[in-house]
Amino acid sequence: MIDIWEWFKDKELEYEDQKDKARLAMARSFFSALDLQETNPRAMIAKLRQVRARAKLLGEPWWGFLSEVWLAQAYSCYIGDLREALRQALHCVHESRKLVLREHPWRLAAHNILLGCYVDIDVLGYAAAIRETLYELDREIPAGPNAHRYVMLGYQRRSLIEQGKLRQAEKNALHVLDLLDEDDNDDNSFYLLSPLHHLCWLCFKTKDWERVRAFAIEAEATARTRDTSEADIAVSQIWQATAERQAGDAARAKRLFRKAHERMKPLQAVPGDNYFDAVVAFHELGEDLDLAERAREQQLKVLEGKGQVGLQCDVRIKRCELLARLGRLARRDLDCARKALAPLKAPKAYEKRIRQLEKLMERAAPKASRSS
Amino acid sequence: MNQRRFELHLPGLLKVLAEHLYSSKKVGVRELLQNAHDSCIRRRLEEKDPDYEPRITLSLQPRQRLLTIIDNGSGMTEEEIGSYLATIGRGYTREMRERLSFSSPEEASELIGQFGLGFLSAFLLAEEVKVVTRSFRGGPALLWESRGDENYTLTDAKKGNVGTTVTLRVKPAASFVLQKALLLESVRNFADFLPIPIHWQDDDEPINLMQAPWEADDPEQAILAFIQRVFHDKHPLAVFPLRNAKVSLGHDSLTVPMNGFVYVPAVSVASVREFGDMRVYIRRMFICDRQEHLLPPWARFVRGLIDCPVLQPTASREDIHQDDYFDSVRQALEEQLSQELRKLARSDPPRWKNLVRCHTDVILGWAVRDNDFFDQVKDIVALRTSRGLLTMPEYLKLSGGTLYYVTRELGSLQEQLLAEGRDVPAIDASWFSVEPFLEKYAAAQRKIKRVQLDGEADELLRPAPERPLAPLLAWYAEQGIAARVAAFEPKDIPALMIYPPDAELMKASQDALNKRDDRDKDALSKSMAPLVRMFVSDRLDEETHWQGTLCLNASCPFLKNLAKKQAAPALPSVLRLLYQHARLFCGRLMSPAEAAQAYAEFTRSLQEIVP
Repeated sequence: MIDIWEWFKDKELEYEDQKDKARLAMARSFFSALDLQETNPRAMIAKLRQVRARAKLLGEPWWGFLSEVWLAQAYSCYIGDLREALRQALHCVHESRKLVLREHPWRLAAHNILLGCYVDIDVLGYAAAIRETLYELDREIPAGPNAHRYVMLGYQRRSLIEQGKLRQAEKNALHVLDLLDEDDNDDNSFYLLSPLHHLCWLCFKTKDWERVRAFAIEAEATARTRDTSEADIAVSQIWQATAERQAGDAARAKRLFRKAHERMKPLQAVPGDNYFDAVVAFHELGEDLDLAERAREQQLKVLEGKGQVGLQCDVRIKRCELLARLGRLARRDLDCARKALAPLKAPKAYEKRIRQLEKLMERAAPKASRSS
Repeated sequence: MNQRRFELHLPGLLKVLAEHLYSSKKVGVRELLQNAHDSCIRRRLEEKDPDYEPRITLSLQPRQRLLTIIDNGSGMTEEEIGSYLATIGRGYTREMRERLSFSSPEEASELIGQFGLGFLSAFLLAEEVKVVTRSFRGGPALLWESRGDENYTLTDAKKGNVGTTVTLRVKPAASFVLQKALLLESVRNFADFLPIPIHWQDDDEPINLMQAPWEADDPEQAILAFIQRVFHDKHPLAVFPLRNAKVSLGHDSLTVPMNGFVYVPAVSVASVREFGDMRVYIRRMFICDRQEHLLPPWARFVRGLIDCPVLQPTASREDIHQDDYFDSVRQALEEQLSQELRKLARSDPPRWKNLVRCHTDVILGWAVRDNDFFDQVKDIVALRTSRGLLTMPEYLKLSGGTLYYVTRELGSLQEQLLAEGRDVPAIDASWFSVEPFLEKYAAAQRKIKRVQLDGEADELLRPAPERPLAPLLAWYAEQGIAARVAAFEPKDIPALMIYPPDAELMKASQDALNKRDDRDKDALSKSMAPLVRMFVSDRLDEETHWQGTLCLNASCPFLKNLAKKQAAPALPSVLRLLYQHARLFCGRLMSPAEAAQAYAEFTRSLQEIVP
């Protein structure tokens, strides 16, 4: 399999040698688009469209396809609009069927992005199709360490976490770390970040604080080797802050948290759920449930109208859970959460959580009236 | 610790400096002219003779492969030859400039040389160099000779006039300088703005302009002529002269001395150029062309020329250092350009509109990327619409606060027609940066709604009662054609075919799933089939007519009349005609085979009406 970054470098050198200004400008536009992913994803999209237009003019289908795949990636990861991402990813999947793109190093990336869209839209609702796709992708992606495998395993891990299979998710994350240990390609160190952040969260759940700290430090060090990982650095710092808070160093915890917050401020890319999960974990540990609830509220705003219906329901219910702990859960919050289930294909698991909250509320109501 | 000195391998160093420091042999001409120029300036400054008339003369003897550069400048004494001409890295000009910089900065600024390396570039052009010189300070005339190795000879010579004559025996690889036309072109390129006349042999008229265009009696015309001659742009859309500018350094401020101009060419070359470029001069001597980083990145539609003494040339003087001074000049240029563009937008709206029209794509692309620039241009840029160029405020006034746009590259005539029918212009967003610009514009002003007409054309249809056209709907239902009634303008359109958003993706997905056979070369991979199936099945559940819906126009008088003529024998033919015409006019989701079939039915229906 051709390594995409090697291919980029070869092409750039080739265009320089041939003094092919038009193609060199196209390649450089592409790289400058990638640089904008965190700071200005809308501009990234404009640039990628420009690359696509140039590729078309110059008769360069591989560059055209690359920009198409990154457009899907931009909608999915940096704008967070899953409706647009799904359309674009599906378009890429159809494009990838063309003979001229059969050997394209990012053909499988298009497949992974479509899988990611369904995981992000409604992981439980599309569980069967996702399972089948994961099974087939496992066979299609070359064995051993490679970028496509890490991404595919990442979506498998997300799927396991949403299904509550946390042990398997941890096993998956550790397997990816092992694979990356065997990987000679330094460019792939980026793929450490997702499993490390998942491990932080999984270890937080089991209160394994030393491992939270260790994984978070490793994640920050990895993120710092890249130019466009500001959000990843921030998430790593929040997990470190959480570990410090647990260890009793409140001042250092606050300092780390503030640094992370400052780091996120100038970014225009939407924060991912890993960011909000880390923020909520930090506040919950400090019993700042108000702040945790506010973070979930902010997350709901970010998710609004972007097609991530499964995650939206999950976050809505998590917010209700926090409100219940604060003693402020109201009927209308639960009604809203229930209403949000409408577009889901498999709402049962969410309904169960809402019913549990209802029972909690009912049990709390007589107590409240007795105390009043 | 034992400190030791570096050893110098002179032949090797000379070879590197003479042959590899410069990337182009043409630079040799510039360095020789510059030495002659500085020598004349030196004589004027040091001799202080009011009658002194400096002059540089060039001549060629192509058969003997000789190029001669004569100046009536200061000349050199024997001591000066040893200290400067024959000492690499030491230049009289630099030392003189340093001496003058406090007492007479203006005079210092007339001198160009800096590094004491320039004379070596003679060996770029020549295999043998002879210098005959006689100093204005007196003493004998001297002949200096070298073949570019570590040795030179110095002997007495005969020369009546003060000054220096440099004669080069030109290498075969530098034969271009033996062609008069190419030599004169190089002189003009490098030394047009030098104030000292450079003559061809005995010609009275100098080769060079001797002044920069901004110093001419009619600077505006001179700049335009220069742009036409050097940049080959005949009709620039706007030209802005540069002037000294004060830039803030945070703790302090700096006045950047600069001359020149920036201009906006009439033609956009956005598909290739990634930068606006500048032609750079330092103390009137040309340094480099197409400098990419002096202009701000958003100014990709701008070109220009700058003469700025604070810019620092590299040792070969073919480029400039990107140091703190460079940043200050860049800042000054950005501020002046922004001011001038804003001023133009205010004072001459038709010209500004024209400028934006020619460079909209570049301007929009950068506005999407840069928030400050976006704020500057968002209400000024004019977008292509079905009613010509309109600014956003002009457009929103017409559309009632909604942005209606089409994105398809092949045009969306039907949607534009519908928009116009509702008295709303449609924005052409088929070029790469328009849609993100509209997104950003709408996001910045929350009340603005965006409607992508190719996919959401329903937004332009008004509900209408079915009853008047019920017989027609019934006929279409019998044929299995999805149809409905809606009211739209223009009234003359009887029917249109409307497809839901994602119709193309649905068709591609359905085709792919039907094809799913490993023997097909473009078969869907096994991993993607479950997801594509999900995409299709989710949308089939939505009861959407993916084959398109024929919208009968309740406002069309012809259609209303037709509905009353159920008994007319030609009715089925007319209705088939309307259906196929609507499909063909829409132009979407039809393979060539399907289009041919539609035309066949179209013609058959016409034959039924007129046998």
